[in-house]
Amino acid sequence: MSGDRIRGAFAGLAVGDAAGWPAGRHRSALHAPWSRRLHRELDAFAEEHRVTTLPVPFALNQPVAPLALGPSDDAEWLAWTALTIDRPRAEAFRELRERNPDLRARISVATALDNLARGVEPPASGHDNPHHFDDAAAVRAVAFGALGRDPAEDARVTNAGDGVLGALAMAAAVGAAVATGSAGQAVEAALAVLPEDTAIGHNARLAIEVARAAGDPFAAVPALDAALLDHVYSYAVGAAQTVPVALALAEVSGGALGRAVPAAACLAPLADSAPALTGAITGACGGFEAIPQGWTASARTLAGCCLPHLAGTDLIELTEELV
Amino acid sequence: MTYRAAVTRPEAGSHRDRARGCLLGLAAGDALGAPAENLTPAEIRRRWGRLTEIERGGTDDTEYAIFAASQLVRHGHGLTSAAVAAAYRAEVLPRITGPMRGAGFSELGTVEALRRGLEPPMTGLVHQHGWSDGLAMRAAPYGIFCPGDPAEAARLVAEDGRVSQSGEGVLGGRAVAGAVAAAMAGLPPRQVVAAALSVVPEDSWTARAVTRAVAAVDRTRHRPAVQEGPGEAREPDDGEAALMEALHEAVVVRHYPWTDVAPEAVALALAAYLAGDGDVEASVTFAVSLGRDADTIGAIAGAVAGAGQGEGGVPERWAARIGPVAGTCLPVVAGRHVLTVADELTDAAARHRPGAEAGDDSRAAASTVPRGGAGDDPAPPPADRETGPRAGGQADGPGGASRTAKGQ
Repeated sequence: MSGDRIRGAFAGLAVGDAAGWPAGRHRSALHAPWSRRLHRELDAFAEEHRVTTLPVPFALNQPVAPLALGPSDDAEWLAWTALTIDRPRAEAFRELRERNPDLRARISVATALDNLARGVEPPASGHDNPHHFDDAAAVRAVAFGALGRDPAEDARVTNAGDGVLGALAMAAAVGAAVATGSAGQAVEAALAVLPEDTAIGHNARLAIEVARAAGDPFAAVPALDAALLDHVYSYAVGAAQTVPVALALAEVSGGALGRAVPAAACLAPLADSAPALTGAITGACGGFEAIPQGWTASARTLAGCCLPHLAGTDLIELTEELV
Repeated sequence: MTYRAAVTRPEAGSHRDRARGCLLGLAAGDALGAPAENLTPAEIRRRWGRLTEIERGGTDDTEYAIFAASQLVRHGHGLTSAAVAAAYRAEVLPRITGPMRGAGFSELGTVEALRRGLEPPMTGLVHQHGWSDGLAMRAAPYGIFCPGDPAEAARLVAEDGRVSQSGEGVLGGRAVAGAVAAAMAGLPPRQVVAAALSVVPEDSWTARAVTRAVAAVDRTRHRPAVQEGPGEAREPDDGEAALMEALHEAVVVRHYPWTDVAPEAVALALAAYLAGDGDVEASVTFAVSLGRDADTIGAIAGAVAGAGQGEGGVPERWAARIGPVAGTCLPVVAGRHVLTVADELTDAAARHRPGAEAGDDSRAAASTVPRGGAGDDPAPPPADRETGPRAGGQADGPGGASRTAKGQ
């Protein structure tokens, strides 16, 4: 195992998280509620007046830091996972809710927390869940994969089906990338845990096929959009879309974060988490030192926009203690 | 115009009578619940007191049920997912020239998957709304087709379901088809709900939700009274309000903007049917008072109760409002009337019964519950109901804020 590649997985996820446009929206949670209300009202104004580009976001009489480039929800959930990785997972979630009653989370996590409060235990807490298929567990699985641990118990608290498979695939990919530095082997390890008769297994193979045909991460963007994206309803964080995109872009970029992450960020509907997952795999392939310094500098300090108790935490320092 | 005036009503308790009661109950619940969709129980109380009168036409629930019935009439017990997918390709896709009005996400996602060349079960897996109540809302015909045989009804509806749903969405359809099959045999409400649970795995969201909802009904021990007369809106009493609250607490997903989650809708519908003790009007009016996906909850409660009570159990004033469907969601079914469809299903069930010609009713022998009068009375004289005026006009309401995404 390479410490540089473990740090690369964590930092790569945070860099990808920061690169996607939804990071700014998550980070605006740090502003006063009235600023987000004004945002909604301006949106309505734009609709009414048929004007296209709004003067948002803004930080009127507020700290300006949340508007700067920086990490958001995925980096925070990864940090929390690393910090609590030795706790029984359902207990860790219960403790988190007690500590952070105002936390913000994906629908799968919010529903799982409600289920736990109602006495519905894992795996039902992740299964009886309308967004059981999202990639909340896949993001957390980056910590398990980087440290060579099994993500399944954690994944089943909040997810089921493709959501759990997404976590298994991400842990397998990141684990193989940390061990070998090879994007090809990372993708191979992920495909080995994705049955072909599941949506995520089908999409992963399809995504790799169309990305290979395009031959280059940026060139693959329209093909991935056409083949994979749900144009009926944009589920930004469906594991069956985001994980396959991350695998395909990691492979076709040869594990180069600087080529793969920008392409993932171009898939606007998936830009909440696909760049982060792509960054985790490619960050592990190339290692921490290969990530542009300006990006790690911007992405390492957590904002606390979803998990307020982590505001100011340095993700890379935190990783040092794990390596 | 009252369509039923033109025909002879079949013998009470016969297969034909229950089939008609079932689809009439489904259409009435769909239409009654349509304006209450996505409202809270408190808002429904504020607007209507108790919502008892049909204000407009039905929605996708009725149209998709008619489409499902047409597949059953064609293929009988040999229905397969591939045949249903072929029917979508032949009859649904070519007629979608613009937006697919009134359809839910699972149907829209399925159409997109079929256009991409996928086949079932991937068509139901690849979009994310596999758990939607899109199958549960159209599951009643499978119960009509298999009276007294919940297992076969559930097997058949799952063939249809794999085209558009996955996981709990298929299980929701199985539960409703199983319940209707049991109600078609004249079983009492408790046994009907037991039949629904018998065709879904115990370790499923659907089973857990139904079980919690039934427990909530038992805890409050409340039975909504039947309306004394039409239009007499009244405030629900305290016991009823407490039951609504308990049911929401037991099964509703709080942090989710859409309401068409099958385990939730099926559990609320079966709870309403139990709370109404199988009476069509009591069950359906309570069902739609729960809000959420009120049209589908009303349609399911109406179908199960209607199968149990027969055509005469559906209030006359509701039946009078049910005309041919507009085909707003599915143009291929435009002009079809649920009573004609019910008769076709009754005839098809008799025709497709294994060994029917040889007089060997082996399917009945294998049934988990007693059958009730399949293939009995002759068809009444054909009525002009499918060419009559259409009740309700627009099959869908203003849907901009609809949280089951019907009505673009």
